[in-house]
Amino acid sequence: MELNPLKESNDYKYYELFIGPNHPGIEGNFSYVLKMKGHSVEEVTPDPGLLHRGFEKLMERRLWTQNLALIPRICVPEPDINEVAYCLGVEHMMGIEVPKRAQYIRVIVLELARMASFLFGMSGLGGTTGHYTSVQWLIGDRDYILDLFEWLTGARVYHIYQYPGGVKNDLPDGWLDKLSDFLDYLEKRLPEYDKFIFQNPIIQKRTVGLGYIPAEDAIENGLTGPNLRASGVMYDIRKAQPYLVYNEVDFEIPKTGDGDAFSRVLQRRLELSESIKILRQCIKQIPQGPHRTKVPNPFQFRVPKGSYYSKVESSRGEFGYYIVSDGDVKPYRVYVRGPSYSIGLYYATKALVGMRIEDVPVWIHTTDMCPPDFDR
Amino acid sequence: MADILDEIKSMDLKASWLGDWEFEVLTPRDRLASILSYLKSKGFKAFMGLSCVDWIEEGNFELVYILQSYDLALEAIVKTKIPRQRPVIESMGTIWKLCEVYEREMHEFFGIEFTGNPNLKPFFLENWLDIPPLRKDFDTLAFSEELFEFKEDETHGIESPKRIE
Repeated sequence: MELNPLKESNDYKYYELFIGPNHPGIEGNFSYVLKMKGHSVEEVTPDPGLLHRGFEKLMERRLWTQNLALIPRICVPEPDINEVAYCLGVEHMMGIEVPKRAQYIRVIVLELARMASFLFGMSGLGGTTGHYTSVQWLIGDRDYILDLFEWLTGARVYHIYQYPGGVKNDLPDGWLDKLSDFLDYLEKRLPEYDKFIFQNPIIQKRTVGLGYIPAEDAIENGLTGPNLRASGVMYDIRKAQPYLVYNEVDFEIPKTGDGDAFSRVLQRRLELSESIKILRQCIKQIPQGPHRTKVPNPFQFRVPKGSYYSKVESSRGEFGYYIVSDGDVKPYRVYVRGPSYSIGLYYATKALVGMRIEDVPVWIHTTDMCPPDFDR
Repeated sequence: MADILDEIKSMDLKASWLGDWEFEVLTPRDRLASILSYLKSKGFKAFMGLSCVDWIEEGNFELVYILQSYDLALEAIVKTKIPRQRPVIESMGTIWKLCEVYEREMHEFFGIEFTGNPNLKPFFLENWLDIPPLRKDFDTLAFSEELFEFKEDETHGIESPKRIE
Protein backbone atom coordinates (compact mmCIF):
# COMPACT_ATOMS: atom_id res chain seq x y z
CA MET A 1 0.00 0.00 0.00
CA GLU A 2 1.24 3.48 -0.82
CA LEU A 3 0.42 6.84 0.60
CA ASN A 4 -1.28 9.31 -1.69
CA PRO A 5 0.83 12.43 -2.24
CA LEU A 6 -0.49 15.68 -0.84
CA LYS A 7 -2.32 17.79 -3.36
CA GLU A 8 -2.15 21.56 -3.55
CA SER A 9 -5.84 21.68 -4.31
CA ASN A 10 -7.09 20.62 -0.91
CA ASP A 11 -4.88 23.16 0.88
CA TYR A 12 -3.12 20.44 2.83
CA LYS A 13 -6.27 20.02 4.84
CA TYR A 14 -6.16 16.24 4.69
CA TYR A 15 -3.12 14.05 4.87
CA GLU A 16 -2.49 10.33 5.13
CA LEU A 17 -0.48 8.79 7.89
CA PHE A 18 0.79 5.30 8.51
CA ILE A 19 0.50 4.09 12.07
CA GLY A 20 2.68 1.03 12.10
CA PRO A 21 4.32 -1.29 11.20
CA ASN A 22 7.19 0.36 13.06
CA HIS A 23 5.48 2.23 15.82
CA PRO A 24 5.48 1.69 19.58
CA GLY A 25 1.71 2.08 19.51
CA ILE A 26 1.00 -0.91 17.34
CA GLU A 27 1.30 -4.53 18.38
CA GLY A 28 3.17 -6.50 15.76
CA ASN A 29 3.85 -5.93 12.09
CA PHE A 30 0.63 -4.37 11.01
CA SER A 31 -0.45 -0.91 10.07
CA TYR A 32 -3.43 1.36 9.79
CA VAL A 33 -3.46 4.04 7.12
CA LEU A 34 -5.19 6.99 8.71
CA LYS A 35 -6.65 9.80 6.69
CA MET A 36 -6.14 12.73 8.99
CA LYS A 37 -7.69 16.14 9.23
CA GLY A 38 -5.51 18.11 11.58
CA HIS A 39 -5.47 16.09 14.79
CA SER A 40 -8.49 13.92 14.18
CA VAL A 41 -8.94 10.72 12.22
CA GLU A 42 -11.29 10.88 9.25
CA GLU A 43 -10.90 7.45 7.70
CA VAL A 44 -9.13 4.22 8.65
CA THR A 45 -7.82 1.56 6.29
CA PRO A 46 -6.23 -1.52 7.82
CA ASP A 47 -3.24 -2.81 5.90
CA PRO A 48 -2.49 -6.40 6.93
CA GLY A 49 -0.25 -8.81 5.08
CA LEU A 50 3.17 -7.85 6.37
CA LEU A 51 3.12 -10.88 8.62
CA HIS A 52 1.25 -13.33 6.45
CA ARG A 53 2.91 -16.72 6.68
CA GLY A 54 0.23 -18.96 5.22
CA PHE A 55 -0.20 -21.22 8.25
CA GLU A 56 -3.45 -22.69 6.99
CA LYS A 57 -1.78 -23.88 3.79
CA LEU A 58 1.32 -25.09 5.62
CA MET A 59 -0.79 -27.20 7.97
CA GLU A 60 -2.33 -29.09 5.06
CA ARG A 61 1.10 -30.35 4.09
CA ARG A 62 2.18 -31.64 7.48
CA LEU A 63 1.22 -34.60 9.67
CA TRP A 64 -1.36 -34.04 12.39
CA THR A 65 1.29 -34.08 15.09
CA GLN A 66 3.90 -32.14 13.10
CA ASN A 67 1.52 -29.21 13.08
CA LEU A 68 2.01 -28.82 16.81
CA ALA A 69 5.39 -27.24 16.15
CA LEU A 70 3.81 -24.77 13.74
CA ILE A 71 0.70 -23.75 15.62
CA PRO A 72 2.23 -21.85 18.57
CA ARG A 73 3.74 -19.41 16.08
CA ILE A 74 0.32 -18.13 15.09
CA CYS A 75 0.15 -15.73 18.01
CA VAL A 76 3.34 -14.82 19.79
CA PRO A 77 2.08 -13.78 23.24
CA GLU A 78 -0.21 -16.79 23.68
CA PRO A 79 1.25 -19.88 22.05
CA ASP A 80 -0.18 -22.44 24.50
CA ILE A 81 -3.74 -21.40 23.81
CA ASN A 82 -3.31 -22.35 20.14
CA GLU A 83 -1.81 -25.70 21.02
CA VAL A 84 -4.62 -26.59 23.41
CA ALA A 85 -7.37 -25.48 20.99
CA TYR A 86 -5.91 -27.64 18.23
CA CYS A 87 -5.40 -30.64 20.53
CA LEU A 88 -8.98 -30.36 21.87
CA GLY A 89 -10.30 -30.48 18.32
CA VAL A 90 -8.17 -33.46 17.31
CA GLU A 91 -9.02 -35.34 20.50
CA HIS A 92 -12.73 -34.74 20.04
CA MET A 93 -12.64 -36.06 16.48
CA MET A 94 -10.59 -39.12 17.44
CA GLY A 95 -12.53 -39.76 20.64
CA ILE A 96 -9.43 -39.68 22.84
CA GLU A 97 -9.98 -39.42 26.60
CA VAL A 98 -7.45 -37.18 28.27
CA PRO A 99 -6.35 -38.24 31.77
CA LYS A 100 -7.46 -36.01 34.63
CA ARG A 101 -3.94 -35.03 35.57
CA ALA A 102 -3.20 -33.89 32.03
CA GLN A 103 -6.36 -31.80 32.03
CA TYR A 104 -5.28 -30.09 35.23
CA ILE A 105 -1.81 -29.47 33.80
CA ARG A 106 -3.45 -27.95 30.73
CA VAL A 107 -5.55 -25.62 32.85
CA ILE A 108 -2.44 -24.55 34.77
CA VAL A 109 -0.57 -23.89 31.52
CA LEU A 110 -3.53 -22.04 30.00
CA GLU A 111 -4.00 -19.80 33.00
CA LEU A 112 -0.28 -19.04 33.21
CA ALA A 113 -0.34 -18.20 29.51
CA ARG A 114 -3.31 -15.91 30.03
CA MET A 115 -1.53 -14.19 32.91
CA ALA A 116 1.63 -13.72 30.86
CA SER A 117 -0.43 -12.28 28.05
CA PHE A 118 -2.34 -9.92 30.38
CA LEU A 119 0.92 -8.64 31.85
CA PHE A 120 2.30 -8.15 28.36
CA GLY A 121 -0.85 -6.34 27.24
CA MET A 122 -1.01 -4.04 30.25
CA SER A 123 2.67 -3.18 29.85
CA GLY A 124 1.92 -2.16 26.25
CA LEU A 125 -0.49 0.44 27.57
CA GLY A 126 2.42 1.95 29.51
CA GLY A 127 4.37 2.29 26.30
CA THR A 128 1.64 4.26 24.59
CA THR A 129 0.94 6.59 27.49
CA GLY A 130 4.58 7.33 28.28
CA HIS A 131 4.37 5.43 31.56
CA TYR A 132 7.50 3.37 31.13
CA THR A 133 7.75 2.10 34.68
CA SER A 134 4.81 -0.17 34.06
CA VAL A 135 6.49 -1.59 30.97
CA GLN A 136 9.55 -2.58 32.93
CA TRP A 137 7.73 -3.86 35.99
CA LEU A 138 5.17 -5.93 34.16
CA ILE A 139 7.58 -7.38 31.61
CA GLY A 140 9.86 -8.19 34.54
CA ASP A 141 7.09 -10.06 36.32
CA ARG A 142 6.10 -11.85 33.13
CA ASP A 143 9.64 -13.15 33.00
CA TYR A 144 9.04 -15.19 36.15
CA ILE A 145 6.23 -16.97 34.29
CA LEU A 146 8.58 -17.62 31.39
CA ASP A 147 11.09 -19.06 33.87
CA LEU A 148 8.42 -21.46 35.09
CA PHE A 149 7.63 -22.42 31.50
CA GLU A 150 11.30 -22.95 30.78
CA TRP A 151 11.57 -25.36 33.67
CA LEU A 152 8.40 -27.17 32.64
CA THR A 153 8.86 -27.39 28.88
CA GLY A 154 12.43 -26.42 28.08
CA ALA A 155 11.42 -23.33 26.15
CA ARG A 156 10.48 -19.81 27.15
CA VAL A 157 8.03 -18.64 24.49
CA TYR A 158 7.09 -21.45 22.09
CA HIS A 159 6.61 -24.44 24.35
CA ILE A 160 5.26 -27.16 22.02
CA TYR A 161 4.19 -28.92 25.19
CA GLN A 162 0.72 -30.17 24.34
CA TYR A 163 0.13 -33.38 22.44
CA PRO A 164 -3.11 -35.08 21.46
CA GLY A 165 -3.97 -37.25 24.46
CA GLY A 166 -2.24 -35.16 27.10
CA VAL A 167 0.97 -33.25 27.64
CA LYS A 168 4.50 -34.26 26.71
CA ASN A 169 6.07 -34.41 30.17
CA ASP A 170 4.79 -34.61 33.69
CA LEU A 171 5.34 -31.71 36.09
CA PRO A 172 8.91 -31.69 37.41
CA ASP A 173 9.45 -32.24 41.15
CA GLY A 174 9.02 -29.03 43.10
CA TRP A 175 7.49 -27.15 40.17
CA LEU A 176 4.13 -26.67 41.88
CA ASP A 177 5.86 -25.26 45.00
CA LYS A 178 7.70 -22.79 42.82
CA LEU A 179 4.43 -21.86 41.12
CA SER A 180 2.86 -21.33 44.52
CA ASP A 181 5.75 -19.06 45.53
CA PHE A 182 5.31 -17.08 42.34
CA LEU A 183 1.59 -16.62 43.00
CA ASP A 184 2.39 -15.32 46.50
CA TYR A 185 4.84 -12.88 44.97
CA LEU A 186 2.39 -11.72 42.29
CA GLU A 187 -0.39 -11.22 44.80
CA LYS A 188 1.86 -8.89 46.77
CA ARG A 189 2.61 -7.00 43.58
CA LEU A 190 -0.99 -6.50 42.49
CA PRO A 191 -1.80 -3.68 44.97
CA GLU A 192 1.27 -1.91 43.63
CA TYR A 193 -0.04 -2.25 40.07
CA ASP A 194 -3.37 -0.84 41.15
CA LYS A 195 -1.64 2.14 42.70
CA PHE A 196 0.62 3.06 39.84
CA ILE A 197 -1.54 2.06 36.87
CA PHE A 198 -5.19 2.21 37.82
CA GLN A 199 -5.04 5.04 40.35
CA ASN A 200 -2.60 7.00 38.23
CA PRO A 201 -4.25 10.27 37.17
CA ILE A 202 -2.43 10.33 33.82
CA ILE A 203 -3.58 6.84 32.84
CA GLN A 204 -7.08 7.64 34.02
CA LYS A 205 -7.17 10.85 32.03
CA ARG A 206 -5.99 9.06 28.90
CA THR A 207 -8.30 6.05 29.11
CA VAL A 208 -11.50 6.87 31.02
CA GLY A 209 -14.31 7.49 28.53
CA LEU A 210 -12.15 6.69 25.51
CA GLY A 211 -13.51 4.42 22.80
CA TYR A 212 -16.79 3.49 24.41
CA ILE A 213 -18.26 0.26 22.98
CA PRO A 214 -21.92 -0.45 23.80
CA ALA A 215 -22.93 -4.07 24.44
CA GLU A 216 -25.01 -4.38 21.24
CA ASP A 217 -22.11 -3.09 19.16
CA ALA A 218 -19.75 -5.53 20.83
CA ILE A 219 -21.99 -8.50 20.01
CA GLU A 220 -22.81 -7.36 16.48
CA ASN A 221 -19.15 -6.79 15.64
CA GLY A 222 -17.88 -10.12 16.88
CA LEU A 223 -15.92 -8.91 19.90
CA THR A 224 -15.06 -11.65 22.36
CA GLY A 225 -13.27 -12.15 25.65
CA PRO A 226 -12.40 -9.29 28.01
CA ASN A 227 -13.41 -6.69 25.40
CA LEU A 228 -16.92 -8.15 25.29
CA ARG A 229 -17.15 -8.53 29.06
CA ALA A 230 -15.97 -4.98 29.63
CA SER A 231 -18.99 -3.89 27.60
CA GLY A 232 -21.28 -5.73 29.99
CA VAL A 233 -21.91 -9.07 28.25
CA MET A 234 -20.89 -11.57 30.89
CA TYR A 235 -19.95 -14.41 28.58
CA ASP A 236 -16.93 -16.56 29.26
CA ILE A 237 -16.40 -19.85 27.41
CA ARG A 238 -14.83 -21.32 30.53
CA LYS A 239 -18.13 -20.82 32.38
CA ALA A 240 -20.71 -21.19 29.62
CA GLN A 241 -19.26 -24.14 27.72
CA PRO A 242 -16.71 -25.54 30.17
CA TYR A 243 -13.86 -27.52 28.66
CA LEU A 244 -11.04 -29.42 30.43
CA VAL A 245 -11.65 -29.14 34.20
CA TYR A 246 -12.93 -25.58 34.40
CA ASN A 247 -16.19 -26.90 35.87
CA GLU A 248 -14.25 -28.26 38.87
CA VAL A 249 -12.69 -24.94 39.84
CA ASP A 250 -14.50 -22.02 41.36
CA PHE A 251 -14.02 -18.58 39.85
CA GLU A 252 -15.99 -15.45 39.11
CA ILE A 253 -16.35 -13.37 35.99
CA PRO A 254 -15.44 -9.86 37.11
CA LYS A 255 -17.88 -7.18 36.13
CA THR A 256 -16.71 -3.76 35.07
CA GLY A 257 -19.28 -3.05 32.40
CA ASP A 258 -18.47 0.51 31.33
CA GLY A 259 -17.20 -0.38 27.88
CA ASP A 260 -14.53 2.31 27.74
CA ALA A 261 -10.79 1.84 27.41
CA PHE A 262 -10.21 2.02 31.15
CA SER A 263 -12.71 -0.70 31.93
CA ARG A 264 -11.17 -2.96 29.30
CA VAL A 265 -7.81 -2.74 31.06
CA LEU A 266 -9.44 -3.07 34.46
CA GLN A 267 -11.27 -6.17 33.24
CA ARG A 268 -7.93 -7.77 32.42
CA ARG A 269 -6.50 -6.79 35.78
CA LEU A 270 -9.44 -8.37 37.62
CA GLU A 271 -9.29 -11.50 35.48
CA LEU A 272 -5.64 -11.78 36.43
CA SER A 273 -6.75 -12.13 40.07
CA GLU A 274 -9.25 -14.80 39.04
CA SER A 275 -6.47 -16.68 37.23
CA ILE A 276 -4.46 -16.70 40.45
CA LYS A 277 -7.52 -18.12 42.22
CA ILE A 278 -7.89 -20.87 39.60
CA LEU A 279 -4.20 -21.76 39.80
CA ARG A 280 -4.31 -22.04 43.61
CA GLN A 281 -7.22 -24.48 43.36
CA CYS A 282 -5.46 -26.49 40.67
CA ILE A 283 -2.35 -26.81 42.84
CA LYS A 284 -4.54 -28.23 45.61
CA GLN A 285 -6.77 -30.46 43.49
CA ILE A 286 -4.37 -31.90 40.91
CA PRO A 287 -4.60 -35.70 41.09
CA GLN A 288 -1.85 -38.26 40.61
CA GLY A 289 -1.90 -40.41 37.50
CA PRO A 290 -0.68 -40.60 33.95
CA HIS A 291 -0.03 -37.36 32.08
CA ARG A 292 -1.00 -38.70 28.66
CA THR A 293 -2.78 -41.57 27.00
CA LYS A 294 -1.34 -43.78 24.34
CA VAL A 295 -1.97 -42.45 20.86
CA PRO A 296 -1.01 -44.00 17.50
CA ASN A 297 2.42 -43.62 15.96
CA PRO A 298 2.66 -40.18 14.24
CA PHE A 299 2.89 -41.80 10.80
CA GLN A 300 -0.28 -43.79 11.44
CA PHE A 301 -2.04 -40.97 13.25
CA ARG A 302 -5.27 -40.72 11.30
CA VAL A 303 -8.20 -38.61 12.34
CA PRO A 304 -11.64 -39.95 11.29
CA LYS A 305 -13.55 -38.13 8.60
CA GLY A 306 -15.47 -35.14 9.83
CA SER A 307 -15.19 -31.60 11.05
CA TYR A 308 -15.20 -29.85 14.40
CA TYR A 309 -14.89 -26.31 15.70
CA SER A 310 -12.87 -26.29 18.91
CA LYS A 311 -12.28 -23.18 20.92
CA VAL A 312 -10.51 -21.88 23.97
CA GLU A 313 -10.98 -18.69 25.97
CA SER A 314 -7.72 -16.86 25.40
CA SER A 315 -6.62 -13.60 26.95
CA ARG A 316 -8.07 -11.80 23.92
CA GLY A 317 -11.22 -13.78 23.41
CA GLU A 318 -12.35 -16.81 21.51
CA PHE A 319 -9.53 -18.65 19.76
CA GLY A 320 -11.17 -21.16 17.48
CA TYR A 321 -9.92 -23.92 15.22
CA TYR A 322 -12.21 -25.29 12.55
CA ILE A 323 -10.63 -28.61 11.64
CA VAL A 324 -11.67 -30.75 8.67
CA SER A 325 -10.36 -34.26 8.17
CA ASP A 326 -10.80 -36.64 5.28
CA GLY A 327 -9.36 -39.58 7.20
CA ASP A 328 -5.77 -39.05 6.09
CA VAL A 329 -2.53 -38.61 8.05
CA LYS A 330 -2.66 -34.88 7.31
CA PRO A 331 -5.44 -32.36 8.00
CA TYR A 332 -7.62 -31.57 5.00
CA ARG A 333 -8.20 -28.02 6.13
CA VAL A 334 -7.60 -26.05 9.29
CA TYR A 335 -9.17 -22.62 9.70
CA VAL A 336 -7.96 -20.41 12.51
CA ARG A 337 -10.36 -17.92 14.03
CA GLY A 338 -8.19 -15.31 15.70
CA PRO A 339 -9.88 -13.24 18.41
CA SER A 340 -8.46 -9.96 17.06
CA TYR A 341 -9.76 -10.41 13.53
CA SER A 342 -13.07 -8.64 13.90
CA ILE A 343 -11.85 -5.83 16.12
CA GLY A 344 -8.61 -5.20 14.24
CA LEU A 345 -9.78 -5.43 10.65
CA TYR A 346 -13.37 -4.29 10.93
CA TYR A 347 -14.40 -2.59 14.14
CA ALA A 348 -11.32 -0.34 14.25
CA THR A 349 -12.37 1.25 10.96
CA LYS A 350 -15.53 2.47 12.70
CA ALA A 351 -14.29 3.08 16.21
CA LEU A 352 -11.20 5.12 15.39
CA VAL A 353 -13.06 7.67 13.26
CA GLY A 354 -13.17 11.03 15.01
CA MET A 355 -10.53 10.06 17.53
CA ARG A 356 -7.48 12.20 18.13
CA ILE A 357 -4.18 10.86 16.85
CA GLU A 358 -2.63 10.39 20.30
CA ASP A 359 -5.58 8.28 21.42
CA VAL A 360 -5.28 5.79 18.56
CA PRO A 361 -2.39 3.75 20.04
CA VAL A 362 -4.08 3.79 23.45
CA TRP A 363 -7.28 2.43 21.93
CA ILE A 364 -5.34 -0.26 20.06
CA HIS A 365 -3.57 -1.37 23.22
CA THR A 366 -6.63 -1.40 25.42
CA THR A 367 -8.37 -3.74 22.99
CA ASP A 368 -5.21 -5.85 23.25
CA MET A 369 -5.25 -6.90 19.61
CA CYS A 370 -2.62 -9.24 18.28
CA PRO A 371 -2.07 -8.80 14.52
CA PRO A 372 -0.34 -12.19 14.10
CA ASP A 373 -3.61 -13.98 14.83
CA PHE A 374 -5.46 -12.44 11.91
CA ASP A 375 -2.45 -12.14 9.62
CA ARG A 376 -1.84 -15.82 10.01
CA MET B 1 -31.60 -26.26 23.69
CA ALA B 2 -32.58 -29.17 21.46
CA ASP B 3 -35.69 -27.27 20.32
CA ILE B 4 -33.75 -25.13 17.90
CA LEU B 5 -32.42 -28.21 16.15
CA ASP B 6 -35.91 -29.68 15.79
CA GLU B 7 -37.15 -26.41 14.35
CA ILE B 8 -34.38 -26.40 11.80
CA LYS B 9 -35.07 -30.02 10.90
CA SER B 10 -38.75 -29.20 10.40
CA MET B 11 -37.63 -26.72 7.72
CA ASP B 12 -36.37 -29.63 5.58
CA LEU B 13 -32.72 -29.00 6.38
CA LYS B 14 -30.12 -31.46 7.59
CA ALA B 15 -28.86 -30.60 11.05
CA SER B 16 -26.86 -32.55 13.59
CA TRP B 17 -24.82 -32.10 16.75
CA LEU B 18 -21.06 -31.90 16.34
CA GLY B 19 -20.29 -31.68 20.03
CA ASP B 20 -21.84 -30.68 23.34
CA TRP B 21 -22.10 -27.03 22.42
CA GLU B 22 -22.28 -26.88 18.67
CA PHE B 23 -24.40 -28.13 15.79
CA GLU B 24 -24.09 -27.99 12.05
CA VAL B 25 -26.74 -27.10 9.50
CA LEU B 26 -26.37 -28.09 5.86
CA THR B 27 -28.26 -25.81 3.56
CA PRO B 28 -28.58 -25.32 -0.19
CA ARG B 29 -27.14 -22.00 -1.30
CA ASP B 30 -30.46 -20.35 -2.18
CA ARG B 31 -31.69 -20.78 1.40
CA LEU B 32 -28.46 -19.60 3.04
CA ALA B 33 -29.51 -15.98 3.61
CA SER B 34 -32.87 -16.97 5.07
CA ILE B 35 -31.40 -19.55 7.45
CA LEU B 36 -28.73 -17.11 8.64
CA SER B 37 -31.32 -14.40 9.30
CA TYR B 38 -33.54 -16.97 11.02
CA LEU B 39 -30.69 -18.02 13.31
CA LYS B 40 -29.83 -14.37 14.00
CA SER B 41 -33.41 -13.74 15.06
CA LYS B 42 -33.24 -16.82 17.31
CA GLY B 43 -30.32 -15.39 19.30
CA PHE B 44 -27.29 -16.30 17.23
CA LYS B 45 -26.34 -12.65 17.04
CA ALA B 46 -22.57 -12.88 16.94
CA PHE B 47 -20.79 -13.73 13.72
CA MET B 48 -17.62 -15.59 14.59
CA GLY B 49 -16.08 -16.44 11.27
CA LEU B 50 -16.33 -17.56 7.69
CA SER B 51 -14.25 -20.38 6.36
CA CYS B 52 -14.07 -22.25 3.11
CA VAL B 53 -13.10 -25.83 2.28
CA ASP B 54 -12.01 -26.80 -1.22
CA TRP B 55 -13.49 -30.25 -2.00
CA ILE B 56 -11.59 -30.59 -5.25
CA GLU B 57 -12.66 -34.18 -6.03
CA GLU B 58 -16.33 -33.33 -5.64
CA GLY B 59 -15.81 -30.09 -7.56
CA ASN B 60 -17.29 -27.94 -4.78
CA PHE B 61 -16.36 -25.18 -2.44
CA GLU B 62 -17.93 -25.50 0.99
CA LEU B 63 -18.58 -22.21 2.78
CA VAL B 64 -18.74 -22.46 6.55
CA TYR B 65 -20.43 -19.72 8.60
CA ILE B 66 -19.78 -19.88 12.33
CA LEU B 67 -22.35 -18.18 14.55
CA GLN B 68 -22.53 -17.82 18.32
CA SER B 69 -25.44 -17.37 20.67
CA TYR B 70 -24.57 -15.86 24.03
CA ASP B 71 -27.98 -16.58 25.54
CA LEU B 72 -28.11 -20.26 24.57
CA ALA B 73 -24.33 -20.76 24.88
CA LEU B 74 -24.38 -22.57 21.55
CA GLU B 75 -22.42 -22.43 18.34
CA ALA B 76 -24.16 -22.88 14.99
CA ILE B 77 -22.09 -23.94 12.01
CA VAL B 78 -23.93 -23.34 8.75
CA LYS B 79 -22.50 -25.00 5.66
CA THR B 80 -23.35 -24.60 2.04
CA LYS B 81 -21.75 -25.85 -1.15
CA ILE B 82 -21.16 -23.96 -4.38
CA PRO B 83 -19.71 -25.34 -7.62
CA ARG B 84 -15.99 -24.92 -8.05
CA GLN B 85 -16.37 -24.05 -11.72
CA ARG B 86 -18.45 -20.98 -11.06
CA PRO B 87 -17.81 -19.87 -7.49
CA VAL B 88 -20.33 -17.07 -7.05
CA ILE B 89 -22.53 -16.49 -4.00
CA GLU B 90 -24.44 -13.59 -2.51
CA SER B 91 -22.70 -11.50 0.10
CA MET B 92 -24.08 -11.82 3.64
CA GLY B 93 -23.03 -8.24 4.39
CA THR B 94 -26.65 -7.24 4.77
CA ILE B 95 -27.03 -9.51 7.80
CA TRP B 96 -23.66 -8.84 9.39
CA LYS B 97 -21.61 -5.97 7.99
CA LEU B 98 -18.61 -7.68 9.59
CA CYS B 99 -19.08 -10.58 7.18
CA GLU B 100 -17.78 -8.47 4.30
CA VAL B 101 -14.25 -8.48 5.74
CA TYR B 102 -14.24 -12.27 5.97
CA GLU B 103 -15.62 -12.47 2.44
CA ARG B 104 -12.82 -10.28 1.19
CA GLU B 105 -10.33 -12.75 2.66
CA MET B 106 -12.11 -15.77 1.15
CA HIS B 107 -12.22 -13.99 -2.20
CA GLU B 108 -8.49 -13.55 -2.05
CA PHE B 109 -7.59 -17.06 -0.92
CA PHE B 110 -10.18 -19.10 -2.83
CA GLY B 111 -11.30 -16.82 -5.65
CA ILE B 112 -14.95 -16.84 -4.64
CA GLU B 113 -17.04 -13.94 -5.94
CA PHE B 114 -19.42 -12.44 -3.40
CA THR B 115 -22.05 -10.47 -5.26
CA GLY B 116 -23.05 -7.35 -3.39
CA ASN B 117 -19.78 -6.99 -1.51
CA PRO B 118 -18.43 -3.54 -2.41
CA ASN B 119 -14.86 -4.19 -1.37
CA LEU B 120 -13.15 -7.30 -2.74
CA LYS B 121 -9.77 -5.70 -3.31
CA PRO B 122 -6.60 -7.65 -2.44
CA PHE B 123 -6.19 -7.75 1.31
CA PHE B 124 -3.33 -9.82 2.69
CA LEU B 125 -1.43 -10.59 -0.48
CA GLU B 126 -0.12 -7.77 -2.59
CA ASN B 127 0.65 -8.27 -6.28
CA TRP B 128 -0.30 -11.95 -6.17
CA LEU B 129 0.65 -13.69 -9.42
CA ASP B 130 -0.94 -17.15 -9.38
CA ILE B 131 -4.29 -18.84 -8.74
CA PRO B 132 -5.75 -18.19 -5.25
CA PRO B 133 -3.29 -19.89 -2.90
CA LEU B 134 -5.53 -21.85 -0.53
CA ARG B 135 -7.11 -23.82 -3.37
CA LYS B 136 -6.04 -27.45 -3.35
CA ASP B 137 -4.63 -27.30 -6.89
CA PHE B 138 -2.18 -24.54 -6.00
CA ASP B 139 1.28 -26.11 -5.89
CA THR B 140 3.53 -24.20 -3.50
CA LEU B 141 6.74 -25.89 -4.63
CA ALA B 142 6.12 -25.36 -8.34
CA PHE B 143 5.19 -21.74 -7.63
CA SER B 144 8.40 -20.95 -5.79
CA GLU B 145 10.53 -22.84 -8.28
CA GLU B 146 9.04 -20.80 -11.08
CA LEU B 147 9.23 -17.50 -9.26
CA PHE B 148 12.66 -17.73 -7.69
CA GLU B 149 15.82 -18.58 -9.52
CA PHE B 150 17.81 -21.47 -8.13
CA LYS B 151 21.48 -20.55 -8.29
CA GLU B 152 23.82 -23.51 -8.68
CA ASP B 153 26.87 -21.61 -7.49
CA GLU B 154 25.35 -20.99 -4.04
CA THR B 155 24.65 -24.64 -3.30
CA HIS B 156 28.17 -25.58 -2.14
CA GLY B 157 27.77 -28.97 -3.77
CA ILE B 158 24.31 -29.67 -2.27
CA GLU B 159 21.75 -30.91 -4.76
CA SER B 160 18.50 -29.07 -5.29
CA PRO B 161 15.65 -30.32 -3.07
CA LYS B 162 13.58 -33.24 -4.32
CA ARG B 163 9.87 -33.38 -3.85
CA ILE B 164 8.89 -35.61 -0.94
CA GLU B 165 5.84 -37.65 -1.86
